[in-house]
Amino acid sequence: MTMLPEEPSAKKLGLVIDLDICVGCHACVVNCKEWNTGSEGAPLSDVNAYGAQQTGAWLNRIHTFEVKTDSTAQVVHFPKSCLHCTDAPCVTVCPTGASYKRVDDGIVLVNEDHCIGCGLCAWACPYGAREMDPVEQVMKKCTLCVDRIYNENLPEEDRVPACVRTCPTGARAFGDLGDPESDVSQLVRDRGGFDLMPEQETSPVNKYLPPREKRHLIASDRSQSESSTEQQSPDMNGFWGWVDTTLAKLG
Amino acid sequence: MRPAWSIIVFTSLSGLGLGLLFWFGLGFVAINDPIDVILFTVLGVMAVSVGLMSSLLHLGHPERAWRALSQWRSSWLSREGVCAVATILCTLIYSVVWYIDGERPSTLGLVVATLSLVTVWTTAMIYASLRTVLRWYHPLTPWVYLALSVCGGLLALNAWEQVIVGQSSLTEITTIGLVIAFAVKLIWWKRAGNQQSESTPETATGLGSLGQVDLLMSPHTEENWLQHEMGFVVARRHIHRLSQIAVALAFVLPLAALWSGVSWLIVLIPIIHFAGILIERWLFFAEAKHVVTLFYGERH
Repeated sequence: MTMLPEEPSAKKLGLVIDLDICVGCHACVVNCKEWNTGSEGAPLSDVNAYGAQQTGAWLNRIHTFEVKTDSTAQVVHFPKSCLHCTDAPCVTVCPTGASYKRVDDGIVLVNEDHCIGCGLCAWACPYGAREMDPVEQVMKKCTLCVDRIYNENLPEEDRVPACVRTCPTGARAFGDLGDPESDVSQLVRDRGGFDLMPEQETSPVNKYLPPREKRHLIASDRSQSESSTEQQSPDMNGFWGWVDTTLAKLG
Repeated sequence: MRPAWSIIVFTSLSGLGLGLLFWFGLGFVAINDPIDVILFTVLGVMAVSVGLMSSLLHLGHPERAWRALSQWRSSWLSREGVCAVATILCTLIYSVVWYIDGERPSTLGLVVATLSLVTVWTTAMIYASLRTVLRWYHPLTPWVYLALSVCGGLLALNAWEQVIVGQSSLTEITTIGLVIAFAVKLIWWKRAGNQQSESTPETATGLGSLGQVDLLMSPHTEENWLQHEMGFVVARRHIHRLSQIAVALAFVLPLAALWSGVSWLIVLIPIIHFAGILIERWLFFAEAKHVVTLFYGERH
C-alpha cells in the first residue's frame, strides 16, 4: 500500500496558490482547522489552547517572508499545506501502509487507524506538511478536503477544499492539474507557476504563482525618480499628460 | 533533528547486539562449555530486543507496531523490523541446534551473520534514505553504522573471552576494528558534514528570482511540532566538545585499555565504548538539519 501507484494518476487534484493575491489573513488556516476537526478522522487537537506554550495540529500554515534586493523589499504571504506530490517521499517510508496515495486522483492520505505515530513520514517531507496530533498521536495532514469535494450532499459551490471556499481574495484555486486544459493548469501556464524545492525531486502537484512585478519596486524606476529633481510622473499620456507638461512649462 | 533517547538507545544497543550476533554467527566466539552458547545468545538477543523495545517507546501507538512489518517493499523502517525479527529467530534456532548437537551448524551461522549485517544496514538506511536531511543522505552513512556495530561486537567478544577464558587473544584484531571504525566515522564527519545544501529559503519558497528571502513573521507564535521535532538547536554550541568526548570514549580509551593488559579494564571496554557511541548517536541527530527549517528562518 505504501508503494506509489505504478503509473502516476492521470487526474492530479491540487491547489494553485497565488502569492500575488494572498494578504495573509489566515482565514484559510482557520477554516481548514474548523472543517477538518469535525471531519472523518480524529479531531485536530489543541493542547493548552488558552495558556502559555500552546500547541496543536494544523494542516495549513501561513508564513510571511520578506524578499529583498539591493534597493527594494516586498512582503510575501506564503500559505503552505500538503503539495500532494507525485513522487511523495512520505508515502514510501511509511512502515505500516497507513500513508497512501490514491490511484484515482493522486490525493495523499493517512489511514489513522493504521498509523503507529512513528513520525518518519514527517521527516521525509521537505515541506513540513505533516504534523503529529498531540492528543491522538497519529499523523495529520491535508486531505484536500476529500470529504467535501465529492460530497453530493453539499451545494455544488461548496465542493471545493475549505481553504479555497473561504479565501476572501481568491488567492487559492482548486482543480485537476493533470489535465493540461483545466482552468488551474492554464493559470499555471499563464502566470509562470512553479514548484517548491524542485531539487528534492518530489514533483509536487500544488503550484505557486509568483507575485507580479510591482512598478514602484522596479529598481531602475526608483533610482531615476530619486535622481530627478522634477519628480516626473512616469507614463502620463492623454489629457493628464498634457496638463502635466503644461503645468511644468508654466514653472 | 531532535535526539530522542528512545531512538538513540535503539540504534546503539541493537547495533551492538547485532555486532555480537555477527561474530557469533561466524563462530568467532570462545566457548568453554555448551551452556556458554546459550549465555552468549541471551546477551546478544537481549541487546537487540531491548533496543527494539526502546524504539517502540518512540511510537504514538506502540500497540500497532506489528503493522510495521508489512511494508518491506518500500519502507526501510519496515525492512528493519522484518530483518531484526528474522535475525532473532534464526539466532535462537542456531544456538539451540548448536547446544543440542554440540556441533556448530555453520551454514545457519552464516545466515545469522549475514542477517545481522543486513539488519544494521536497514537501520542506517532509515536515516540515509532521507533526502530532507542532507547530513544523513550520504553514501557513507550505512557504512558508519556497520563499522561501529561490527567493532562494538568485537570489543564485547574480547571482553567475553577475558571473562570465560581468563585472557583475551583478540587484541590485534580488535585494534584493527577500532581503527577502521574510527577512520570511517572520521571520514563521514568530514564528508557528510561539509556538504553544501542545494535547498535554501529561496528554493523553498520559489522566490529566489525576486531576491533574498528572509522570514518576516512565523505562522504561529509558539513552537509547533515540526520545530520541536526537526528544528532542534539546543546545545549546538557544545557540539565540538561533545564530539571530542565521543571519540575519547568510543575509540581512544578502549584502545588504551585494550593494550593495558589489565583484565578488569578489558572487561569494561564495551561499556566505555558504548557510552561513547551513545554520545556519537546523540550528535548524529543533534547535528542534522532538516530542510523544513528553511521555512522557519534558518539558512543552512
